[in-house]
Amino acid sequence: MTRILAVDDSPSMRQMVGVTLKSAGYEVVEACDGREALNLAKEQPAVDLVITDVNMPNMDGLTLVRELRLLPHYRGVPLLVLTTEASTEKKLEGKAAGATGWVVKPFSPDRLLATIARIIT
Amino acid sequence: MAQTSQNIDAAQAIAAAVAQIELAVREVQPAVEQFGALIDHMSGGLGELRSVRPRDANPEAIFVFQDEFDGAVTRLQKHVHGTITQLQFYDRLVQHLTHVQDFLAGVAGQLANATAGEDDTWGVLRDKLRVRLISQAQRELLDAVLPPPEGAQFNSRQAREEHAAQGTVELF
Repeated sequence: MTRILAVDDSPSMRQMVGVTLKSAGYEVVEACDGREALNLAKEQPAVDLVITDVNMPNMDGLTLVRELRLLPHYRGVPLLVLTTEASTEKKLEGKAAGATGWVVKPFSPDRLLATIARIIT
Repeated sequence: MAQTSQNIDAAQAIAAAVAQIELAVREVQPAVEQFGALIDHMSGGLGELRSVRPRDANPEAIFVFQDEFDGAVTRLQKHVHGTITQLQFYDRLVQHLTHVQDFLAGVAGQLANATAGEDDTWGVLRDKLRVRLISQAQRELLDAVLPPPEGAQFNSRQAREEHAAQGTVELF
């Protein structure tokens, strides 16, 4: 089963992302900030996709993306940023960090699932 | 001395407002979590319906009702997805309130501190809030009410674009 790591400091956002992903048959692993996600990534085999928020305590999402790209088993894993940030500057920063794509909250479940299906196949 | 006393009164008033915001968010949290759980159950139930139909249904009956059944499940799934989109505005509200709450707590702390006003404490607090705000509309409102020393610059086009960008996906 395809495993997706969802990273967000908001429990309700993790819940909404989780419901969306599970409705499409994905297995969901959750982390509440970048640091927890990075620790999971270091300890476990790579997931098939990471979806991360940007503004989080302890470690923000763009730092997480940069750190994940340094891990050999995460170099080819798609990393989607899911955030309220919509500025071009932030998107460019995300792209430079190694993100695969940028989704602006509030997300549409249909659109998110279509995007995921496109990038993990 | 009178100034210090006024500052302490103001700090206490702001601290009271901070506590009320915190309580408001805390009080509604269980209900929202329950709402999220209900959405989860509905979504799970729809998944079960999809998987059960071909296995358990009377083949002749399902042949007749297949389109109606599938159509109803698809419509319900769309409604569930709609609630997921709308519920995210609650998360946005909580984030917004939390940042304002932190700002007010910082203001209260500075007012209660005898050395407040000796450096750019207010500017630092303001800038910290501005960075944490999650939309251009929120930042422009802050700039309008509490402008930076260099003056506020408004970019309504950027705010409109940001609003229009909600829900968009960009692959790199």
